Amino acid sequence: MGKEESPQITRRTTRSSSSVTVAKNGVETTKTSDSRPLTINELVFGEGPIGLDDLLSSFPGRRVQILELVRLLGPSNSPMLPIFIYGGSSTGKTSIILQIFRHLNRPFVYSSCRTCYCPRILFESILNQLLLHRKNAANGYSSVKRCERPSDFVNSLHEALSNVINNLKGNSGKSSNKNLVGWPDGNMIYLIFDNLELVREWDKSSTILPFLFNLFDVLKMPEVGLIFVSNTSPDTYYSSMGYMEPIPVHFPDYTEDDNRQILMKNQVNRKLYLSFLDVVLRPFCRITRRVDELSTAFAPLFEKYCEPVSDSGLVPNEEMKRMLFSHLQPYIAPSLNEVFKVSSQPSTEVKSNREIKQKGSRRKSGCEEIDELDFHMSTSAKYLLISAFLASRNPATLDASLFDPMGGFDSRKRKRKPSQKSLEQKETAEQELLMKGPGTFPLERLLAIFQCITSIAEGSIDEEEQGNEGLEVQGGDSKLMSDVLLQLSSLCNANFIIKGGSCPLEGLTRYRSTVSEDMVMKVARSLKFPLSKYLYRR
Amino acid sequence: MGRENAPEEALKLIRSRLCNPSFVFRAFSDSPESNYSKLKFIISSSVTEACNNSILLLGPRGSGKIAVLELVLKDLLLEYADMISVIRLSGLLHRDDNCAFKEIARQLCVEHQLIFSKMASFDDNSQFMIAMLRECGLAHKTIIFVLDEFDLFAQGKQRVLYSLLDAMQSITSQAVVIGVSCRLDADQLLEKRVRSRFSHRKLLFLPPSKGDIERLLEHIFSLPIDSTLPHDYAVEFNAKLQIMLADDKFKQTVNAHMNSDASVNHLSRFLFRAVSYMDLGSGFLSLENFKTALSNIQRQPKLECIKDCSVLELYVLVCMRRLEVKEKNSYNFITVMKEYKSIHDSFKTSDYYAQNVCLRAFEHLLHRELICFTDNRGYNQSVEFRPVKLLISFHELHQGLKSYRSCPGILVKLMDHEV
Repeated sequence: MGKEESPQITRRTTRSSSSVTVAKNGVETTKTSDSRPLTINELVFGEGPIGLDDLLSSFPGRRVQILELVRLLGPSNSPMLPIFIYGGSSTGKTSIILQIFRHLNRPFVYSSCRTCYCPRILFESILNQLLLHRKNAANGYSSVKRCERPSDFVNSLHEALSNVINNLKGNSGKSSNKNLVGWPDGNMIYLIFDNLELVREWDKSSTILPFLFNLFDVLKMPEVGLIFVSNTSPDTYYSSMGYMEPIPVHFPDYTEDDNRQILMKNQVNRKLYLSFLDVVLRPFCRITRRVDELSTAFAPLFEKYCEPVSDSGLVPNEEMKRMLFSHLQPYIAPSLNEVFKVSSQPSTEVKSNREIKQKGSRRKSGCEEIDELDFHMSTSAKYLLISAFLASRNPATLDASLFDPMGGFDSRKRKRKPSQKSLEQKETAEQELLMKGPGTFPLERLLAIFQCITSIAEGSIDEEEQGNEGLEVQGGDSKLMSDVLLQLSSLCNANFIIKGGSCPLEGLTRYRSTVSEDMVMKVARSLKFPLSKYLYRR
Repeated sequence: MGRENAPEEALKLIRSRLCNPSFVFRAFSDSPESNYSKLKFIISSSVTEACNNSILLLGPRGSGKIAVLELVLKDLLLEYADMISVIRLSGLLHRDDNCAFKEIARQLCVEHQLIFSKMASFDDNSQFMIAMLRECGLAHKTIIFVLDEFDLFAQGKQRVLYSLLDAMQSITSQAVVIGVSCRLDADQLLEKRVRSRFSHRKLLFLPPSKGDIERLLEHIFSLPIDSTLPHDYAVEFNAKLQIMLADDKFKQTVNAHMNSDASVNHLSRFLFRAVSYMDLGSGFLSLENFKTALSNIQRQPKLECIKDCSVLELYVLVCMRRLEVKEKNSYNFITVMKEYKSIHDSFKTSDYYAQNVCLRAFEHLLHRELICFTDNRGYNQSVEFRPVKLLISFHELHQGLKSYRSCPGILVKLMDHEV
């Protein structure tokens, strides 16, 4: 506490901060109240319970699955066999199972195999929740037990589950009124394992997966229910060691009508949004039917759609709908080609500048944006990127002729008419290039190309400036080299260049460039660099 | 007990029966020829005659080996309460020697109210076990070791098995080792020195016959007359049950389910699902419940996947199929895009999208596990250049396209090679 007080003494205190010190005791009391022991009520969903109709209406298109899950879970205090819920991404599996437990008001323990990325963390997270242990500063953010092996986990789990179940039985015996708010319902406790498909990639997956699937038989406790949630179907889990399959429940992807109902929820002006969806939903559903991707793509489009409408509560009639549709139409096709792109939000000034520019060039349908890079790179990084691309793209044997340091690029002489055989050879070689992808190059080659390019570029700058600072440019070369290595590592971090395999003879790492030709064209254009002269084209 | 609660109570009762394997397999333990009787005879004779014994229980997964064993042990513990103590190990959890001996020591300590120390070393634990065996033998107490997933113990050095069986060889010890495994050749996996100490007694657990299944169904679903359930409800339920069990269509449904896997556990999962569909309003089981359960269990996962795909993803799949037909050994995303472009050029389809959109659809297919990479070590190549292959057969793809709602006609034609 002494350390925290001394800066306060040296700083000038204003009236508000001195009132904070008074309220500090309040902070402390909340901290101590934070460390109050957790009770069994923590295992329930927490917010107030909801009825079945609310549950069904908050998940349009999932009526069949919700009813099936409720039936499989059964009335309270009835044992159940393990359930396996599977379906594509963003189909509502996790949220539905959690809301079902909120509706049924039964205690559960939820753990995701994404946040618990190894067996030890998974086991400890479950035990922490069961033993009502919260990690805080008092216990050094440690778990209640260290548990790494499945055998230890089973023993601890037995104890913890028996404790919880006895607690629940005691609760239900005490409270004569079973509908007390906050008391969990029944004597059973459920364990939910989410994102199970990630367990297949763990190191110990060959023992952990059969262990999890056999957990029900190993525990032999009828008061425990197991629920597994996964992105992929059960047939992708087959391993050499068998297990009894849990009961599968399939969550199919949403249909177009389901998507319409889902997107319509929480909309302020439903009629307007409905007319918007009638226009855009069908073409976009041909690309993807996932709700998260659709809603990201629709948000900017809906803003554009509403531009001519001044009154936000307007109910459009037929003529208005047609007008809005024709206003939106030129934007639909390019938006289809950018469905999965989440563009960064530019600052408001840039936005207003861009709007002014755009109003003049609206006829060009946005091709001006495509020509420009929408992020900033330093000049040396741009040159490095171009050299990496050239090194990956061109075969090494051509370097000498292409990058003549004397400044002569003469690779375009000597064009003979190619024969039939060489044409076929060219085609197979091109196929191979398509298959193999960009090649690898060692660091020295990259630096050599980089030096050639920059010396040529600086040479051309020199000619323009009439040799004003020629000497400084020469001396700056050696200073550039350390910067270059730093730039290289930052390009690697940005995944423009990746480290390829190393050559077994020399043991040096090789690099590979991953940028597309379009992007390098943009970069070269911004530098006014004649890229096409250096590209090897067969 | 009100009449309204009766169906719910009946449902709970049947569900708890189905989740409890001991109850399910009690139906098979009546006759003297059953595995239950044989096993009981073997163990009880070794207990009463104070000799060592070992036996293997073999059978497909879900045929009730552990369930029958637990029934036998429960009955024996009632008969000879002080003369038996049971140690349970599982090959899944305790394959490692250290783990196994620690677990044996822990269970022995719990059984005999001794204090178990987690810091005990491997040698301490093994010496403790040998000492306990000797002491129990002198006190005429038999220790029964149940080794579940026995074939997993037989991988590696088989140290646990050897020490256990070796400790049994001394005169003063009285132990029975029961191995339970799904591999029918589990005894062939044993090393020579282990096998010589193991008696070659095996009990096979076979799938039930049709008559057995009928008895089992009646055993599970018949409500008890003189319990907390209302008498007339239970009688009516049982009567309706008898009618349904004799129905041919019902028998067909059950047989259709048992065709894929004839074990009892598989059947009880089917029955569980059917019973959870029971209509709580009327309170009786009907044939419809069983038929719905069957159709929900018999799924076609790849066809479901295809139904979930979007039109663009179907295009990518059809392009990959065409590349396979053209006998390209390996292909990647770039070549698939070339094929996609050529299809668009020849047929002027309306679904032509930019490369980044197609790449994302490609990644969706990877997540759905309809396609996968052929090489595992391609971490230094981007997604577009790694070779891929289809994980779905031509027939499934064709069937999926035909049943796809609003599938573009061009895709079906491309698959049929009519164009």
